[in-house]
Amino acid sequence: MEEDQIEKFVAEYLKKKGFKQAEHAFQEERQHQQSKNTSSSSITTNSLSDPDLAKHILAFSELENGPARYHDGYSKFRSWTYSSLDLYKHELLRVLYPVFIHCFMDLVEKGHVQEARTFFNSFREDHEMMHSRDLQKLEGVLSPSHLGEMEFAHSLRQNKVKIKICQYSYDLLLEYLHKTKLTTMLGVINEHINFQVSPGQPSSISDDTEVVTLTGSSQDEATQINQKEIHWGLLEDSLEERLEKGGGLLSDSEKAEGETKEGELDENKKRSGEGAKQGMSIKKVKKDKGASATGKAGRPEANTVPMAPRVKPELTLPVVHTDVEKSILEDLRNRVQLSSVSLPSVSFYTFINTHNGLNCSSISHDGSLVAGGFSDSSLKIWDMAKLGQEPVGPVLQGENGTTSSEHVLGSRGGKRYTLFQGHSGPVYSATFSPLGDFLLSSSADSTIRLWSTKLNANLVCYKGHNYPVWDVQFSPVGHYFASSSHDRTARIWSMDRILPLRIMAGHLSDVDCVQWHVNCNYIATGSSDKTVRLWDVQSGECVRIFIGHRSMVLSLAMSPDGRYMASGDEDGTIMMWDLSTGRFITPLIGHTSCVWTLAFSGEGSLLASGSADCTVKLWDVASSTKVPKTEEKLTSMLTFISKGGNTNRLRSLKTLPTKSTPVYALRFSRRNLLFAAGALSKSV
Amino acid sequence: MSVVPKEAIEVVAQSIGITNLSSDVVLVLAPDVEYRVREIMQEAIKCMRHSRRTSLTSDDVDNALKLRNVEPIYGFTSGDSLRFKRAAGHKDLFYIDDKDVEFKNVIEAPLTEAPLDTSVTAHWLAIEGVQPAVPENAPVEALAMPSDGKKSEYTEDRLLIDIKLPVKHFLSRELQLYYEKIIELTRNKSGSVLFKQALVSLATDSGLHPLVPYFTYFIADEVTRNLNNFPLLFAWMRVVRSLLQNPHIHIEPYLHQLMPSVMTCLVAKRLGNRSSDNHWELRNFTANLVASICKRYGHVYHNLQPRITRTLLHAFLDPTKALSQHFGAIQGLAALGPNVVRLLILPNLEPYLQLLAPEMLLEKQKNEMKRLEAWRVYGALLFAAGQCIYDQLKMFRSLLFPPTRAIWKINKKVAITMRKKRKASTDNLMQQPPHKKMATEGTVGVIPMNSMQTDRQGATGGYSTAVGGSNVGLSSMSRQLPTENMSGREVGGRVVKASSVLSQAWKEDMDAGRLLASLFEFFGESLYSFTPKPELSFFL
Repeated sequence: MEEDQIEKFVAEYLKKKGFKQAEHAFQEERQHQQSKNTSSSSITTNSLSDPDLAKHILAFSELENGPARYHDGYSKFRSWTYSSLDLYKHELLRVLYPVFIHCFMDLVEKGHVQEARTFFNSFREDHEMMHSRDLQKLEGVLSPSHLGEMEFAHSLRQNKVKIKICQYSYDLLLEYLHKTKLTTMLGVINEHINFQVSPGQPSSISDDTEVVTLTGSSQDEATQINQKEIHWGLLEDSLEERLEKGGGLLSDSEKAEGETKEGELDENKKRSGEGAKQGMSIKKVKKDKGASATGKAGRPEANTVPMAPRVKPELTLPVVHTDVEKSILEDLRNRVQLSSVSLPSVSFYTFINTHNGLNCSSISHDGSLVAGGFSDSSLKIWDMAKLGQEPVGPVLQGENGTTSSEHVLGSRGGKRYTLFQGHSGPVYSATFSPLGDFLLSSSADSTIRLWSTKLNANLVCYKGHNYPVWDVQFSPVGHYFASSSHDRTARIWSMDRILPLRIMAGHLSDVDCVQWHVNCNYIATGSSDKTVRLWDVQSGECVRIFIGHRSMVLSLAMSPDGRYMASGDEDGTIMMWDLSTGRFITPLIGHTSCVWTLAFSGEGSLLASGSADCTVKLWDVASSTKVPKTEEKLTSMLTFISKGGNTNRLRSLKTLPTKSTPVYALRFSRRNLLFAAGALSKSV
Repeated sequence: MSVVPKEAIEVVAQSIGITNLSSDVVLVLAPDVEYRVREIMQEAIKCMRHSRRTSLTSDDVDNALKLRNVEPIYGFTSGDSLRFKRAAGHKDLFYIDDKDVEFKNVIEAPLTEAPLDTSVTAHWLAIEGVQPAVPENAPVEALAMPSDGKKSEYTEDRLLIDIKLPVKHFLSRELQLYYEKIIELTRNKSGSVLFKQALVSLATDSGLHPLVPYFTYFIADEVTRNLNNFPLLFAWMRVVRSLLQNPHIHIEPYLHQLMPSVMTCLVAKRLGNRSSDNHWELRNFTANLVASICKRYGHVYHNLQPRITRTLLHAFLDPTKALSQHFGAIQGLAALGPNVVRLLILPNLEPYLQLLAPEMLLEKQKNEMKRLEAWRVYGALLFAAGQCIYDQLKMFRSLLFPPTRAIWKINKKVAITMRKKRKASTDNLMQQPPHKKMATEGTVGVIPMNSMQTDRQGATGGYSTAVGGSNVGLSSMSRQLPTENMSGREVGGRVVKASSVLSQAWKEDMDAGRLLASLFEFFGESLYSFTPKPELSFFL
């Protein structure tokens, strides 16, 4: 008799829950009901005739069987998944992880902490490889209150995980869950997973990356953001562009008058003077464009490369001085062309006797100045051009208020540096202005300080962040700079204002690194929430979210053509991203430890990466970016997986090991000489 | 249930004066403590990453605590990572070794040296993608480089032109000790077993490469200064041989420094200051050394062997040079192989023997030492010529027939004269006990060869009756003397012919048989020892 069964369950439930009064009332009701069963049976039969309700009540009684249900249910579900058909297996396996963490959190939430622990430990190995960092975080959750407190867990609970799955896999899954009455699992899946069922064949393994980051920021939002339009082109009237014209003319003249060198020199001067004048007035640019067009007509081969789109600057850019411009143009003209067959020369600056105190290093554009930020709050600058020369004059010491700078002479003379003191916490980042006359440093004391390398003095202290400032970067044109902090914001500043111009908020964890786009209209930020975001400088909006890293993002670099971005993480993986589509192109795998720094070569053909594993690696960007077409990408990814990374090793051109010196900073000079810096550490 | 046991909470509670902590509170606190600790560690790891480090230090934890507005834990700051010690008897229990320090000691201790100040050095990590082999760079497979000679030369050239690095040469403490030990052993205990072990070590150990320039320089210096210290010279030559044998050492760049001292030990006028010094042996040893050097590095340095042979030939052909120098030169040339002998010694054999003959005669050379030396040289010559002819005979086996008869004749004569003269010569020897003694003691060079030869003759039944007893060596040795004289005197015409044959000896297609015959003119049947048995049977 179904009716009786249900009544029995209800009674048991009330008993178990300790609702004595309710139980009592229920019993009375029952007896009362039985007494007038004959008269009012129609009502009860009516109410109980609904089989769904009966089932629900039954299921509920089962559900209440306690935490063991989770364990059993999950282990059954898991073994079924592992024994499923190979073709659909990887899709079903993706479901396992969210089910796992939500089962765990359900258990914690219900107060079964002990059971949650055992559950967690018995199945964590399955997910160790892909999600070790998340697991480490969750491991610490020990009480329901922690769940509310911990942002990570909170966001997991709030948002549904989106999983792409093919129709057949979906049917398989549902059928299994219904057939075996694993209602607990079904409940979890319903509650926390949002299936995107697609008809046809199961998707390939390579799309896996989307599910890797359960970072809370809902995927919908991310894709929506990534729909926004961005203009990644270079700035109009950039120096490079001018060089193209100037260079074209120059090479023409060289061809024509190779022998008459003196005349040529004169002409060069004239032309570079012209080039400088172009910078002065925008009116002339148009005229010159016409001139360059005629120049190009004479040299058709130069036109084969499709021109990158040009964009207008959104910020008012500082005026570049003519002399400076001249020297930059000269550098660009003398740039060594790098490619996979002609690799750069690397000059390495080794910091010795740092006593584990060096936190960061920065190299000026021409490599003549090297700055080091130390954990004892000091900032030191070495003038590499003067290295080895005899020191002149006595020790200089300037002091103004709280900050001071002094020249320190080495014991052997000549090896001197300028000491900047002013911060009151470890210095985490330093950056030279493009011309090398200013230096910015950020520190744990939540300030950013501007130093003049000419005056050897602290000029400004920028206060705005509330927590340690992890990174600061000058914009490619100078004047503006961006900072990122533990307070989960990135900020844009200009040198002449002590308050930030923009605050970029949106990351779910610390913003660890920041980098300017070459056209200065965007900044990219890398965060501990394992995402990289691109922000519009003018509006302060997030315009791209790049999801794919499996650990904290430590370094960023933008390609000189503005089209690509590289990001390096704690595990040693480097990802190449296409800014316009927001999709990742290819992982560059090779480093075994944190990638501290990344740099593109001047013309963008090579990427250099420096890592804690004491190597500098050179990557071929051309071949790394050549496979963004979907089909190619799939095949290459598949071969990559099947061959265990062989294709990727081809893209790594060269590994340059250092002598137990982790590489902290890399910088390509305008002439494509690569500078690297690092602290010699004996323990490595 | 949590990593923090509830006992720990109780202990901490007691330590701050809470004695009546209820167990419920403990159970709630323990997991919360664990959660907080994990939280702090997560922040500490962030701080570590931003300090560009991969190992967590107490500073990072302090910074993490500051981030959370918590008072840092004082007293644990240190630039290095903490050293934990495993507690005895426990597998997973560690503690920081924190020694008690006497306050007095701290106060009275002298000021420690200030730590070195931070500095920056620059070097080339790569030049156009190729890593130069400077000490600042991680060691590449150093020995793999020479295989592609062109490439390494290229980078070296670039290095020299483009940058002038202050190349500092670091010798590890171990290597310095090793070097000093080797020097000391060579100088003082060159006879000991330890020295032999040292030689083995020099010949086999890898990683000695940094010491090679020091050794070569030192050896060159020592040899020039200790020309009259025979044991030392010999010891140094052994060291040189060991160094040359070592497969891990790339010694070619230092050969030019090493060769002069080696050559000195081969052809110096005097090696050692006492007559008991067996400098002959040293010369033999060095001759083999020179030969091995030529063999190994001759193809790399094309002018190496020509230079050596020129030096040796010069010493050999200069009549004013001492006999010991001649000996060294002959040995050296002989060690270089039969071709060298055929080309350089044989054409000069006849005039040289004429020069040498009076020195060997008792009547003409009264000085025993001188005479002995002459005999040595003679033995060396014989050996060299014999080796040469042996080689030839092996190559041109079929060309032996024509001159057999002539030689047979000569041999007969020799045999006859031999018998006549034998008595006299033994008498001579009897009268000169010291000479005899010397000769019997004799060296590897001549006598064993002769005795062997006589044995063989005995076997073939030629002259076995003529020789025998204890004075076999002596007799056969002295026997050569009259033979020489006789061929010189009696068959003058034939000698002319023989010398002309010899002077053409360098020709490849030279008839080996004729060569042999002419050599017989000079050396008599002592040459038999160098002819292979089947060939010998042609003559007998």
